[in-house]
Amino acid sequence: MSKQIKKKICLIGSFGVGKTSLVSKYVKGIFSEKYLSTVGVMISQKAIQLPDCEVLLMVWDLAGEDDFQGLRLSFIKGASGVLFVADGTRSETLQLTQQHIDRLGEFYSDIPTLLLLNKADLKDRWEITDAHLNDVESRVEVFHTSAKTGENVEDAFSRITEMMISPEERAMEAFL
Amino acid sequence: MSATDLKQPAAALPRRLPDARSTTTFVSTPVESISLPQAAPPDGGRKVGKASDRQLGHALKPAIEQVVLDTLRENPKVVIDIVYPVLGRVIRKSITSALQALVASIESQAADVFSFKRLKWRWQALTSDRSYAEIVLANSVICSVDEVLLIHRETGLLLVHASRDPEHARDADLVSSMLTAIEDFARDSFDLDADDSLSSFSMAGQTVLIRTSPMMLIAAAVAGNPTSKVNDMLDEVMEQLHSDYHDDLGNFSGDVEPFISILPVLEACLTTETGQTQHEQTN
Ligand SMILES: Nc1nc2c(ncn2[C@@H]2O[C@H](COP(=O)(O)OP(=O)(O)OP(=O)(O)O)[C@@H](O)[C@H]2O)c(=O)[nH]1
Ligand SMILES: [Mg+2]
Repeated sequence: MSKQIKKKICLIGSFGVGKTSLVSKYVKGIFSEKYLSTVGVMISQKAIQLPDCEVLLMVWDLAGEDDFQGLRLSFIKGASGVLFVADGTRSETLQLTQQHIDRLGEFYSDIPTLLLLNKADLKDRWEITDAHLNDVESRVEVFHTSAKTGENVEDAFSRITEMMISPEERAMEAFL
Repeated sequence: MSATDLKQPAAALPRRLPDARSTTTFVSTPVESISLPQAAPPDGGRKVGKASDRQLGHALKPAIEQVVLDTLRENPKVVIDIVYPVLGRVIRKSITSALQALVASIESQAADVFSFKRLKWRWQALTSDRSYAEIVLANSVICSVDEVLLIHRETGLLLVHASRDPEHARDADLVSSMLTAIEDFARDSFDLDADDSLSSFSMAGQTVLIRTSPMMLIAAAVAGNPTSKVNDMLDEVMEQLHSDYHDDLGNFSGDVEPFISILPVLEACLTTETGQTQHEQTN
């Protein structure tokens, strides 16, 4: 059995953008139309097999907050990666994400982050256009996801995992 | 792929941790648990006063409720300060009655079993002012440490886990993260300093003892009433690990290998305490 590395990641974003749905799709393969707003935090785990090690992801799905003030920094501390989530059908959730990225940068500047623009199955109703994304795409890698169809969900989690397992760490693994 | 979350009917700690519908929550609104102190009846509780007191109460109720709600909204911490001691009292009370229930159940279990030892206890009960059940309890298991987890403080990641039941191992990672979140939440909510922390909480007859240092958190799941010996043991382990593994804890980035050597130390903590004192044990 290959060696196991444990990593904590957080999902951050406005109410109802689909954080819990993305985790549920990724971890359990289940999507539900029903909206049960998260209170506090929901924690799930998933093991991912990489070529040279197994990564155990501890996924902290935080309650949606509409400003950074309300965000619990104590829940974010110790995270090796952050997935920002916005809802393509509501442009204000992208603006909020940009604030979140700024504020988080003040506290944890060097951790890998991705932006998931969710509800890609509703693209015909998207308010967020490529023009909106020009600015943000220069700062963070963007994935268009759908918790409903599963589009890009696995890929996004794999990508953040790859980014967290630093090249040095992998080289060490190969050497040992 | 192993994929679980806290919703599953897990065997270990999660069963005893809060689980609300699809989301694991531990932020509860204290509104429902607030009860305003009742106005003390006038000395002697004269009958004349009672009807008008009640009317006054009715008249004031909406206004008082509004004040409580406003306070809650504006300054939840004040309300937590008020509610916390009340909750503490309620919890203590429920522990006491749980103990009484335990004594009663031991009495009924033991009553029909015939043995020399029990006859001796019966005799002790007759000749002392202690009840038979009390003596049985004193000779029975008071507490047993069933699980010990060593958790990295900052990340909430599990470093080492010792358990009586290996079945519990698969949930230990989730439990570790949950405990860290609860600990952080408690510290935020009750405005504790960095060195203060939640030291224990009880749920469904189990106590979870928690020890924290700036770098780690030790949690022990204890069945029964934790003795001071168990508490002291955890303090000692904490101190020892803190100095021995200071650097490894500081450099931790997800690889638990350097901590494997701690397993025997945690396993040694899986003890059982009985009510027997030294001289009683010789029989
Ligand atoms: N069509 C569609 N609906 C989605 C998608 N993702 C989530 N939803 C729906 O959006 C609603 C909110 O989803 P949640 O996952 O609960 O959102 P959340 O971000 O966890 O919300 P909070 O916990 O309140 O912060 C639910 O009704 C979901 O069914 C998606 O990709 N496509
Ligand atoms: Mg949610």
